[in-house]
Amino acid sequence: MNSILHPADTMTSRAYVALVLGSCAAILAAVLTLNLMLAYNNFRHDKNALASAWQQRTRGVTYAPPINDNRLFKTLRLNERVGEINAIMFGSSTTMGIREAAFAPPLRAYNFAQSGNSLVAVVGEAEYVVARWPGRIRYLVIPLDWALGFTFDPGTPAATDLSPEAVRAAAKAGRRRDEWLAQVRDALSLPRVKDLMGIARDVLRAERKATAFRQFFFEPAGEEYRCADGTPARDYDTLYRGLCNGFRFDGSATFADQRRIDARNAGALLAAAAASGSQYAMALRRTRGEPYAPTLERLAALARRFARAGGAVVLFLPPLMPGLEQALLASAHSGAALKRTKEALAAWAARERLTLIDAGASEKFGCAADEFIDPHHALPACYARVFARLPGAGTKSVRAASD
Amino acid sequence: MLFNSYAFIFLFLPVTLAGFFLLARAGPRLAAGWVTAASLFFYGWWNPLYVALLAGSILFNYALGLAIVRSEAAGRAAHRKRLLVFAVAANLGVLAYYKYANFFLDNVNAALGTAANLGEIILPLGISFFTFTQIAFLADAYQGKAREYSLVHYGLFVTYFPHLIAGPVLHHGEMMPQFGQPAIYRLNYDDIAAGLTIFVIGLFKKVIIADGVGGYVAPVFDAPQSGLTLTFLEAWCGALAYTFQLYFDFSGYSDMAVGLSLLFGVRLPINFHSPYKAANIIEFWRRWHMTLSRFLRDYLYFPLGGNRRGRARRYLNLMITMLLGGLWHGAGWTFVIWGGLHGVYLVVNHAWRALRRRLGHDLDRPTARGRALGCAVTFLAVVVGWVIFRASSMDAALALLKAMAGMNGLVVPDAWLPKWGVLGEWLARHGVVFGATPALGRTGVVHWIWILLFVVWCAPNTQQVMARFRPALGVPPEPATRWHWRPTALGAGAISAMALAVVLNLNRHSEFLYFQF
Repeated sequence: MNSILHPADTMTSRAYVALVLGSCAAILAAVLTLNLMLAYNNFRHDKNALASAWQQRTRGVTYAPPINDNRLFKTLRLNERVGEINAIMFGSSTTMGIREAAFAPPLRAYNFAQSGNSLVAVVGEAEYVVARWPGRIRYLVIPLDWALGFTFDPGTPAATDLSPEAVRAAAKAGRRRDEWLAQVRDALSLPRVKDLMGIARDVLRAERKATAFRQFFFEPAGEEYRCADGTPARDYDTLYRGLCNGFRFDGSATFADQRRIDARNAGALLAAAAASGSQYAMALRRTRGEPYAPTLERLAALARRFARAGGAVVLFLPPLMPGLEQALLASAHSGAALKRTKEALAAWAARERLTLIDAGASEKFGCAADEFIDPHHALPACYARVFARLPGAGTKSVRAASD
Repeated sequence: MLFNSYAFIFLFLPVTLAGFFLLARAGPRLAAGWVTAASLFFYGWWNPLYVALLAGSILFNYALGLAIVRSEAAGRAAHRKRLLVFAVAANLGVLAYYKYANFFLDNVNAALGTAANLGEIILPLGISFFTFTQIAFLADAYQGKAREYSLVHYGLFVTYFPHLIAGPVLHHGEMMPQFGQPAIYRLNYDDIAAGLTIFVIGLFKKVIIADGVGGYVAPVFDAPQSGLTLTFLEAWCGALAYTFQLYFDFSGYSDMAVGLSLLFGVRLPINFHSPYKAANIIEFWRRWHMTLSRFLRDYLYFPLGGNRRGRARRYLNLMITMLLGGLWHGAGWTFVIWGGLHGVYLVVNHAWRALRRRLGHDLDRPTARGRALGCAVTFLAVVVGWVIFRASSMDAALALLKAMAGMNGLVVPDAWLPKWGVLGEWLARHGVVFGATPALGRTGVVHWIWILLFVVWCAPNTQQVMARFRPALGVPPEPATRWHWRPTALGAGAISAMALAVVLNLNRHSEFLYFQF
């Protein structure tokens, strides 16, 4: 009996409690069940192997989830492709925009760049490639990515094994199944709920909703479809379906889940990227722009070894959105540090007689802002311009166009 | 165990609540014992070893309280006093050991150049709260204000989980009678509806607001130690972010405590009543951590003589009370200085009021403009205090205060220059410096600040919105607010949405700031 409540729209306290607890319980139970089903479906299938086999068969666009953890998928692909290529591009997501077509025909390249891959890790990978496939791989394309701080980060390259078995074992060890309470927590976390909302939207938009639901929750992949350029695609992830998101046959990323920089926002984006608080300025300030010498020495030693075996290492400073490098060089907060970085790397490359393409000022190569998805992720069109000037395994430092 | 954790929300609370009402059918004493046991489990979740300390403290104080009451009945006044002195000294001794021993030794070492060391002493959670609660019980037993209670009710009074770790500081006189009322052992949906609503509001304040704005605090307060020179805007944003983090953290905790207790039909004393709406510092302390203020007033300020021994002595008593109040918050000089600063504020406030009375001003009828001005000045004074309270050292606090005073320049984040367009360019041409503000990181804090300023100054508080249900004890009488909660479908939807928002953000759960005190 509710004695203190009168207005007409008021319900009893008992009904109110039931409504609050009931609605919360119903929503949380639905979220929990669906997310646990998704997690179970992910664990049930070896999506990396399935996606790799499908790409080898179709030369289409795909990836195995999650998009930001692609070491196993890329390694499986590299091992499948190694018999038909003679060049490997390394690096992080920054260099995933490099397509095989960016290079002149003698180079048949696979883009082995992986998310978050540091220079230290790249050196380890390159050493493995040189040791494992001597005579087969002739070119190593390696970024010196100061913008993300990789050129400055200390560390010693570890002995790396890029055999499928070793990488699969490492992935398995790193992806230990969480205890049930951790799984419940994860299933109820905001990012998971956002993903689930996206899936629900896709299911509701699909023509055959029941089929779409089954594919999301019970099958390893969606149906095969065609990208705008006619390339086949298949989504093994539950996110970004139908977008042709993932990696091409040459290992480059489509970045289909990202938008190009809009010319109208380019000015603001440039200013923010050149501001003192930006990640680029922070990386320079944190390290005073001093490249980590031991990593460069190890890289130079590798290049010398590789050259003796007839190979060539091509180094490059990745392109930044037009105007950004100049803005940083002109800034009081980062100018001196960036100048130090560029001079140190150029002097080192000249001393070691290494090919170094400094593409930081991408505008000098004719790149435009809309050929980037953010200040440091260039799209294939920009990279094609950068590598168009690549001389065949030369030994001189290549400067920007107008230098 | 944290209120803002999965274990508490989905396991501990439902099981404890269900067990309470089921056992109440078999007898109130059983139900009270169940909640006491659950509260000890709640406490032991953090560190089971310290359950023994808590249980020992309860048994010791109950026995001494009983002895004091009985010796009064037997007319043994001297014995009663000896018991009181012994019991209070024992309580303060335990508190001093766990909370202040290393602080004391550090200062002795610094002064004498020695290196005495007690090793690491882990501060038991809530020790300040359960010690003060029981000292008040002993003092009242001595004064004949406490009677003989059952051990089950006394144990429940001290351990009662909604208040155990971060208050409010309970008084036996307002809790024990409630534990004896048969009504609280019967399922009351009005109390459950109101309690659930208040608990969710408190969770929302903590998880979404306090933790949200809290991300901006550490970079600014840590900057001086990292060698960064803070600019005006960075320092103010950091100080205001902490001002709101602490407010919503503590306000959220207080709401949760009141709401949780109401689920069991028990009303806790109000502890937090829109303190940033205070028009002077005296009023601030009547609105912030109200039960601690009450304790310090009743068991420290009044015994020191209060205002009965002349103006000078009154001001001295105020300073002593606030210095010890500062020390209660933590073993560090910044806390002592913060307490002293508030003591000075209070002295100035009392002197100012005395002056105005002499000038014939009517202090009971402030003008709207006067109240707004007073509110702004009080808020600024409190913010300055929080800088000292939060800073890791007085050097860091002074560095921040110096920047807040504009002594390091008025630099605007350079990321704002393009956003402000023509205005930005015009300002830059006219001398406004757009430059590096690394301690500010993301500038979204500015939006937090103006929104939260509006909320703390203009919105009614939880107790006002829930006033019809009398959810807490001692709510000051105030003009009715237009916002009155009622159990409606719309309200249920809003509370459900807040609850879901909280649950989805529990992964980043953090401790309450007042746990450390």
